[in-house]
Amino acid sequence: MGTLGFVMAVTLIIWLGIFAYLLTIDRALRRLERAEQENDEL
Amino acid sequence: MAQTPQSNREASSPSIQGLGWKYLTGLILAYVCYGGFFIAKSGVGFAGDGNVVRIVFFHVPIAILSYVVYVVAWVYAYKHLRTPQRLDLDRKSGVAMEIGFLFCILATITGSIFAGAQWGNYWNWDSRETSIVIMLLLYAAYLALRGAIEDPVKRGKLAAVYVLIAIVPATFLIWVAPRITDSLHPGQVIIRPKNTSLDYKMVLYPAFIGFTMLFIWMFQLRARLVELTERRRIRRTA
Repeated sequence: MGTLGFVMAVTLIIWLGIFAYLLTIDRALRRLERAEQENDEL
Repeated sequence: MAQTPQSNREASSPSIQGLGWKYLTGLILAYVCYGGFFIAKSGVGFAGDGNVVRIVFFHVPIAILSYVVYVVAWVYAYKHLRTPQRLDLDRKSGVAMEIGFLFCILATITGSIFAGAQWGNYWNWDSRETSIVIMLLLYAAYLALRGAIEDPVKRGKLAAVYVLIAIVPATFLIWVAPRITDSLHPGQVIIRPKNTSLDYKMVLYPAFIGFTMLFIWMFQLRARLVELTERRRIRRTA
């Protein structure tokens, strides 16, 4: 592994962090949209 | 729910539903992170042991996308000018430009890291580097223009005209200028047979697909957020 493995691990961790962050935003947005839709129906 | 004709039209805008393709994006780019270091071999004709070439799997798709995203913004801007009552198209054009700006910044940073490792200097005012700085300014000027106008109708019209016109210098800067001047940019070294072997393609092609899917995902998220904010603003002012 060595240096190459270390750089790969850093890159992978950064990507997984971004990925988890995007998924969180996606879920939060869906919740907000559902609340908005329910609000419209009232 | 009673829908207005406007919201009916907006609902018909194309979008990719579901979560599956988002997980697939995560998998593809995780594969690129791994494959860029352990599937692709080091490059020939590069500094040191040739490991510097591995940044290609991130830099090239992002740099090409920073132009493709501009074309996406152009299409939305054009559609908005054809149907000025559709302000959602203007907002989508703005969202694409925001993400294009982000991709352009990332392309500049990754290019600069490559320059530092390959040529020993992070910035050389090479023709490719100069053109991407002007491209960044094109994006920044657009965002400044949007931020400076409050009236959404006027903003939509001016922003769309800007995008339609600025595609000419953008195309020249990305595709023409670096090819008609001497450049340090390793376009010719990259396409040597040794550097375009199967292991190299096995990472680069998924990288193109993965980053494109990432753009679509980011674009949808930002567009949804902007629409939600707009709906709430309209409800508050009504």
